[in-house]
Amino acid sequence: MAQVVLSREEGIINQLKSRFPDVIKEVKVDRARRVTITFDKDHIQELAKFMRDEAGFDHVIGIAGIDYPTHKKIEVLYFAASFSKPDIQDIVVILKTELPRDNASIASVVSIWESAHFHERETFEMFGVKFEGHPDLRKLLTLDNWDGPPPMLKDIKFPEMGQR
Amino acid sequence: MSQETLQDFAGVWIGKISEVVKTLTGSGPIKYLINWSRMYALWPVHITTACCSAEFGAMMGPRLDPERFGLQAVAGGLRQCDLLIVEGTVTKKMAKRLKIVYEQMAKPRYVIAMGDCACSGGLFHDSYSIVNDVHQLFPVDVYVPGCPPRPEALLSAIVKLREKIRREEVFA
Repeated sequence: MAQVVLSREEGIINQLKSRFPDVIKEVKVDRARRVTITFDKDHIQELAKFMRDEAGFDHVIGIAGIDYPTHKKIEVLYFAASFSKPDIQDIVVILKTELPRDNASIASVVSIWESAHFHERETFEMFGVKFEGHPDLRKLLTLDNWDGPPPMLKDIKFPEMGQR
Repeated sequence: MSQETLQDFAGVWIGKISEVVKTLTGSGPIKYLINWSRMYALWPVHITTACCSAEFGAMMGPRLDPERFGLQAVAGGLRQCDLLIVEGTVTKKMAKRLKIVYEQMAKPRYVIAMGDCACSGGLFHDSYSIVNDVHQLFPVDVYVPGCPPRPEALLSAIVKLREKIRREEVFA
C-alpha cells in the first residue's frame, strides 16, 4: 500500500497552530485533502482573515449546522477552499465551532468571504443561528408565509405532518 | 308562439339532443373510436419536480420507445397536453405551480404519480416542506411506486392508463 503523503495538510495545520495557539482546540486530518479544525467561536473573524489572506483559502463552499440537543450545543461548520492557489485547490479545510443551543450567535464572515452570504442565511433559517453583522439576514428557502420555528432543530416537531 | 314558450321548446329539444348524443357516444363503435383516439394521443407535460425525471427521460428514449403505446414526444404547449406525470417529490412550494399546470391542461386530463415520494411521501414522509400524496392536489389515475421506478415500470403504468381510458365513459 502506498504511503499517503500529507505534507500540505500538515503545513496548513502548522501554520494555523503557530499563529493561533490559544484559539485552536483540536486539529484532525480526516483523510487526504480533508482537514478539520475546531476553534473558539469568539475568534472566527481573525481566523477567517488569516485563512483568506495568508493561507489562500479565498471562499467558503458551504456553511453547515449540526444540532446536538443532548449536549445542548449547535455546531457550525465552515468549509473553506481555494480558487487562487493552484497547489491547494483540492484541499477543503473544515472550520468547526460550538455554540450554546439557546441563543446561538456568532460573528458573520460575509465581510471576509462574500460567498458566505446565502449559506449564513440558510443556516440562520434552518437552525436559528444568528450571524451578527450579516448585511441581510432574512429567511431563504422555506415557504413565503412561513413563521414557524427553525425546522432543522431536532426537538421541533410538526404534528400536522404526522410527526411524533 | 311567444318568446318564452319558444325558449322552453328549444331548451327541451336541446336537452333531448344532448341525451341522444350521450347515448350514441356512450356505447358501441363511436365510444370505441373516441377512446381509441384518446389512447393513442397522450401528450405528456414535462414538469420536473424532482429526481424521477431522469427515469422519465430514460423511458422517453428510443430504447423503450413509448410512442408505440401512444405516448407522444414531450413538445408543444401546456394547453394541448393531457397527461401529467408527477416526476418525484412535490414540495409545498412546487405544489402551487403543479396545481396551476394541472388547471391549464386540456380536458380530459390524466395524472400519473411517479415514485414513492409522489405516491406517499416516500423518503421525505412527514417532512415539514413536503406534500405527502399528490392526490391532495388533484385526482390521480395511476400510481407508480419505486425509488425511482424503473423506466419499464413507468411504461407499464402507461399501458394501465391506456386500459383505463379504453373503458371510460366519453362524457363522464
